[in-house]
Amino acid sequence: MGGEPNKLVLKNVSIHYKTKRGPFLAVSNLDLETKEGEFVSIVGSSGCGKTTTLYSIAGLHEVSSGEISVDGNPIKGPSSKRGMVFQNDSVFPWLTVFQNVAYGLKLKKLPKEKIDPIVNDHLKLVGLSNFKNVFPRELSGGMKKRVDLARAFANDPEILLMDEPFGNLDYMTKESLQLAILDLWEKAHKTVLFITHDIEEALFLSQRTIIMTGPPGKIQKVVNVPFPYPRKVLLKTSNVFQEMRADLIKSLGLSSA
Amino acid sequence: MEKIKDTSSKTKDFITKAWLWIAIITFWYLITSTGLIRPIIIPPINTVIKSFKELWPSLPKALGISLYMIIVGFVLGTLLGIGTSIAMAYSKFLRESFSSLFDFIRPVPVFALIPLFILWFGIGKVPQIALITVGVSVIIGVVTLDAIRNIPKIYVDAAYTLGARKKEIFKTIIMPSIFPYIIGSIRVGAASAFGLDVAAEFMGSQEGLGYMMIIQQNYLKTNGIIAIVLIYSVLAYLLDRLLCYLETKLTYWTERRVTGKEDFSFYE
Repeated sequence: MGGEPNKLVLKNVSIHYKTKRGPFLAVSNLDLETKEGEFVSIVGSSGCGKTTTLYSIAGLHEVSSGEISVDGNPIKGPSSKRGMVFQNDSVFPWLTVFQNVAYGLKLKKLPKEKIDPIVNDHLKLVGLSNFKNVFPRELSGGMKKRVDLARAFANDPEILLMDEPFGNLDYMTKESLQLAILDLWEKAHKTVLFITHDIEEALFLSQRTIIMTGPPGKIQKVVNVPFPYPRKVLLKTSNVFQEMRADLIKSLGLSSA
Repeated sequence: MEKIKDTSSKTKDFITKAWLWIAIITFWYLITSTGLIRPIIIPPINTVIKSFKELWPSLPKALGISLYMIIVGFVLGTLLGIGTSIAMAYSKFLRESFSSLFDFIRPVPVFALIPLFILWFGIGKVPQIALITVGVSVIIGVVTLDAIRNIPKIYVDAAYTLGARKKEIFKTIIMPSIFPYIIGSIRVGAASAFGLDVAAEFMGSQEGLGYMMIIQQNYLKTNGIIAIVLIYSVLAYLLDRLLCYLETKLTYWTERRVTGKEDFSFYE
């Protein structure tokens, strides 16, 4: 991995938020790099600026200073090359499950013969083949998240940005979706930037875990996660995993609690 | 629930729905037949039926003219209301140029425009349709703008990250998602189209249902007026049902309860 060029680079990025009391510094002088195909997670408490960072990488929020670039080119606004899965439900309720997953492909004006197999494959990967023609209102929260994931992956972005996608789900659903996402990632090998407040989730999924503190958001620690893929759920209960987890809890300053 | 329903509860259902109607008609019959109230204030039921028969020959033409104006005015007003709002949401220039003007014009009572419209467009169908169009577009325009403003930002953000551009956002996100929120105002617009038609015909018309009403009033035929009011009610009701039907067809995807069916069982 070391020899590969960087895919996504954030150089000295600061981001402000407009509030009624004036601009609020959410992220300050952040530097971040990811390799092509790398799975990186960012862990931090609520309000530390991690979501703001992700929105800026998506092109949905402007940076105040510094630069975000992909393959060396500075980004300009949102693009289908940087797909995103949001914390809250973003499945379009007026489209069926199939139409949701096909949404981005239709925008690309792909012919129907090409769209159908892509959508069907991705629905199969997330286990929703039997719900193709169902409208989202009939789906559970976990199933909607699966639609979100399938839609993002089917659109074939170069980078996938995930903003605490499983934050609102129960433990069992979350665990099965973690496996689904690893499965999708191992098949497609996209660059993934995964935000979570759950240290266990970050370690279980990613190759590299970044601890962020704030506001203003800055990187406190970077940890390489050595476990080989494919990862199994039981990894979470192993000693090595638990020791790493304990270390990270300490570095977040939570050990005394 | 369906299975437990037996015939006795069906009769009960019927009674709950019908008792008020029966009571009103009985009350009407009683106060008129006992001579408690003069026929010029409230005429007996049979005279209303009689005037239906009298009006019958001239009804098709009058009905055609009024319905034509109502439908054309309503459709134009709906398109104008939705169209201007979407244009204003789309273009910052249009929004900033027009919003203060619209805010100033909107509260002006439409009926106050009748004399102006007659001066500008003369007497006839044009000023009347124009009046209905303006009245309907104001109602629907305000609600459409509000609906666009309240679209969950996450849908727009998601569409952008899936590769949509502004034009596509409007076509694929904004248009479908505002519909459930503006259908209520479209129904209000349809109902007020009838009211605007009556007002327009009162002002300067030689034909149509509203004109017929004025004739009845001139001859102090209260029964005729009530007959025409009933015709208007039935027409407005039918148009409303049609819109409700279209709504269920077009918004089958929403979690909202179907409008037009007064179902409040969720808090009972």
